[in-house]
Formats: sequence, C-alpha cells, structure tokens
Amino acid sequence: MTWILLAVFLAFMTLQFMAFWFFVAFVPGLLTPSQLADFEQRLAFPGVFGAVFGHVNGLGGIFAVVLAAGFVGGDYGWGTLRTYLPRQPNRTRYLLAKLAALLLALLAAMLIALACGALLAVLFGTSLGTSMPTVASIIQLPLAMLRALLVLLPYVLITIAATVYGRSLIVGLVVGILFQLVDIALGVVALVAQLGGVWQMLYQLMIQANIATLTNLNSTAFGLDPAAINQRFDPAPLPPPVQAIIVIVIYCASFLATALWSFQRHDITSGT
Amino acid sequence: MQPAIRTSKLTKRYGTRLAVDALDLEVHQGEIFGFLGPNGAGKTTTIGMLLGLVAPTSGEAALFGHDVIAAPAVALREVGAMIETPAFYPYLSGRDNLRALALASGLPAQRVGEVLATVGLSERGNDRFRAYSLGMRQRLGVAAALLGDPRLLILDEPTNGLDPAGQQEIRTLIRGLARDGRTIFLCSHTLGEVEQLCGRVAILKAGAIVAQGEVAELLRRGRGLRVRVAADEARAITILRATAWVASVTPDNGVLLVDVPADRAADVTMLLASHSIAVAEIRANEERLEAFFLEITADASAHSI
Repeated sequence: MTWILLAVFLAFMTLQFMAFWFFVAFVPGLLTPSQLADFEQRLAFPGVFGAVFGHVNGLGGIFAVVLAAGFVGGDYGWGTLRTYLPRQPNRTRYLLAKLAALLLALLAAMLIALACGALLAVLFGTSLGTSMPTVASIIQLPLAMLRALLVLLPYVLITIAATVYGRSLIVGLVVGILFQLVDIALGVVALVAQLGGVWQMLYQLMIQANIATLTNLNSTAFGLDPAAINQRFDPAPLPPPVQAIIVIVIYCASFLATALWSFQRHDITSGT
Repeated sequence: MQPAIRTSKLTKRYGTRLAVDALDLEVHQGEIFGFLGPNGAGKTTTIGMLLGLVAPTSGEAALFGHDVIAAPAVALREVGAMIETPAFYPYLSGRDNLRALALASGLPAQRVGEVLATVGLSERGNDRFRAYSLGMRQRLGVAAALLGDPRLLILDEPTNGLDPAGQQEIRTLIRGLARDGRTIFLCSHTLGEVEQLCGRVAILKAGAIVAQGEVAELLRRGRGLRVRVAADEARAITILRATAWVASVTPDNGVLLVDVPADRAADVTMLLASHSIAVAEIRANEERLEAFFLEITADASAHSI
C-alpha cells in the first residue's frame, strides 16, 4: 500500500507541475503577472522545493492519514497484534515503534518527492531557461522537511488515536480525513481573527493557524509568495513560528497520549 | 516447582455478559494439558488473559510464578503462543514475517531457519503469507510460537486445516516438545487429539470449569462395568438386578453394562461365580472423550467435579 500511495502522490505532483509548465509555456496570457512569476518560480530552483513542500502538506496530508490508518489499523484487521504483543508486551514501546517507522516512511517519501520535483524542474526548467539548485537552498531542506513533518504530525496522530480507539482501520481513516476537512472549514475563522483581541488569540490557538505559519515559512524559505496564487492570503494574524511549534506540539502530545492510553487499556481481540 | 500456569478466580466480564467465571486452573510444568469447551465457552478469552492481551475483570493469572498483569514482560518471556487463526502480514513471506517477529522480540535471526525446518516449511518459507494454504498458515503459527524456544507453549487449534499426515506430524512435534520438558497448553476441538496427547484436561462451559482432571480418570469415573458371561446371560441379568448395590443392568450385544462403581468389579465377579456363572470378561466401561465432552457440556451441573 505504501508504494501505491507514493506512486499516486508523485503522479498528482507531476500533473500539477505539468499544468504549471503548460500555462507558462503555452498560455501565459491567462495568468496575472504575479501568477506567471509564481508559476515560473515553482518550475525553477529553489522555488520547486517550496512547491513540493506545498504539495506534501496539501494532498500529502490525506495520503499520510491513509498511510497512518493502514500502518496501525492493519494490525487489527490482520490480527497481527495477537502474534506480536505476547512477544512484546510493552504496548507503549510497540506503538511508538510503529509511529517511528511511519515517520521514517514519511521522511523517505518526502525525500523521493523532492528528488522527483528536482527532476521535473530540470526537465521543465530546461525548456524555460531557468536555473540549477544553489547550496543555500539545499541547506534549507532538512529544516523545511522537519517543518513539513510537524505539519503532518497532528493529522497522523489523531488518525492513529482514532484507529486504536476504534480498533479499526476504517474508523481511523474516517476520523483522520474528517478532522482535515473540519480543520480546513474552520479556516473561515481567520476572517474573525482580523477583529483582533480575543478573536485573534483564539484563532492563533487553532491548529490550522499554526500549521499555516509553518507552511508559509516553507514557501517563503524557497522564494515563493503564498499571496501570489491566493490573493486573500494574509500572514498578519498568523502566530509567530515558535508559538506555532509549541501549539502544534501540544496538539500532537494530546493526540499521542490518547492513542497510548487507548492502546494500553483496550483488550486485543479479533480485528475488524 | 512453580506451576507453568496458575489462575485464581480469574474472571472476565464484558458488560453484563460473564465470559470467564472465577477460573481456577493449574497446569504443571512438563505436562500436555488439554483445554476444551464448546464455542463461546470462554477458551480464547482465557488464553487472551494468560497472554496479557485481555485484561481480567478480577482474579489472578501467573506463568511460572510471574504475574501476567503486574509483570507481563517477565511472565511472557518463556511463552510461545498461537491464538485463534495464525495472524501474519500477508504481503511478507513466511520467513520475513518470522524475521520481523524475531526482531521485535529481540531473538536471534538464525532461529527463523530452525523453526521453519521444524514445522516443515523451509522450502516454502520465501512464499508470501497470503499465498499459504490453511495448513501452511497453521505450521507458520506453530513456528512463530517456537521462535523463542519457549518453556510453555499455548496452542489454540494447532492442527486445524491440516491433512491427516500434517496433523500427525504436528502431534508428533507436540509430543517431542513435551518430551524435551516443555509444557503444552493445548486448546483443541479435535477431542481424539486431546485424548491421544493430553495427560490432564479442563472442560469449560459458559466460562466455568465443569470438569478437570486426568483424562483416564475422567473417562473411568462412575461409568460402571462391562461384563461378558460365558453362558446363561438371562440368569446373570436377573441375579444382578436383584442385587441392592447394582443400579441397573443393560444388555448390549452380548455384553452386560452394569451400573456400579468401577471398583466393585471383584464383587460382581464373586456374585456371579457364587451362582455358578462364569465371567469371561470384566472391565471398566470407559467411554471416549468425545462422548464424555458432549454429555458434560450438555448438562454441566450433573458432572461438576
């Protein structure tokens, strides 16, 4: 399943890059000057890295939820917990090992996506006459990968918590995707945040605002301007990066604690 | 010497349903112990509690003297188990599944080849688990249980799905493992298998033990005598029926089924001899475990011991 998800994810990413290239190369008149400049940047170094991270934290979020539900839910469905837990009865260790394996898989997938993006930039960039990657942009990559991973982590952890609580892959999948949809829908609260005061503080405690801070950083770090495509994007009410990291870590810790608590407490019987 | 398994008032309740009711069980080291019961009797729940998979509502369970609930890592260190159907990752080969299990358990990888050879799966070890037949899955389950070279093996239906030759191989393997000093806790629906392999059994019904003891003793207990007389069967029946301590006499294909305690065989012989009736054969009326199981699980209260 992991390889299929990665292949589909890379196919979607390639399609998106091809669409950028199509507009820039053949119908640039359909774009505003700022959109055209943004698309060109996304097809060139270092902007391509920002575009890949945007893809990772966009569509990649849904794929990460599917992968997380499969990683943990498969054990219930196949009944492999019955085989493993009598030999490794420390359930906290077992679940943390699963999480570590999942995060490593996500990091590996991110590296493959970055390599694929770089290849596409070389391919499309050649016809557009654009650049090669700089050392400075490559040095930015590890930090950007960690930021992208932190953005995925709350969705992954709430999916694991739901999978363990429901002892079912399906429950985890549904809750993980619903959480993402609700989170996106709550983005409208950003409008209220412009009123300032308590409203802004409340907005800044929401998971989406803090995630937006990190995804914004991953775009700007590679020279992209998020407002170029989404002209309504206003970074002003977003929380500062340190606060964003702290808030996301708190969310993650609470989801992880729920998962571990459920995993410790529940009987392991036949899967669903 | 600590018993391999000891439970004390072990109870599991799911809401209002009592799955296991105050189970007291003691399995000695080195024996093959049969654990029987109809579907839904609580066998798998009991095994789940012994393996730390299911939390008891109350009571205690200890393996080699170590509490399963308080110290599961220590208690389960020398236990190998196959519970319900063998469960492995379908996309991995049998060998890779065992490697992953060995890695997770901190066991040396060389054990994988050894246990695959033990269950006769060496040649098919590189096939994916999803391609295995039911019998091969059972063998892999047994191999996984043996991976840690355990002192206690808990096997739930180990011969399920195997052909007669495969069943015989697994039974021979189980006997061999017991000869090496291992304790085997065998849960099986194949009562003939339990009768062949096990020294002692416990029979569970509705979460409670309704019979426990040595197989031979359970089968002998209270079942009367089979008596064959050389001649004059009709007179022998009359004499026996007229005797106060004989509950009943039933002729059955040239044999008399005499309902008396089995230890009164000598009294029956002397009684008939005193009436000049020669006894050609007399023995305890043993029945098969299957008949005993069906009888006791149908009417548990009458046979609790």
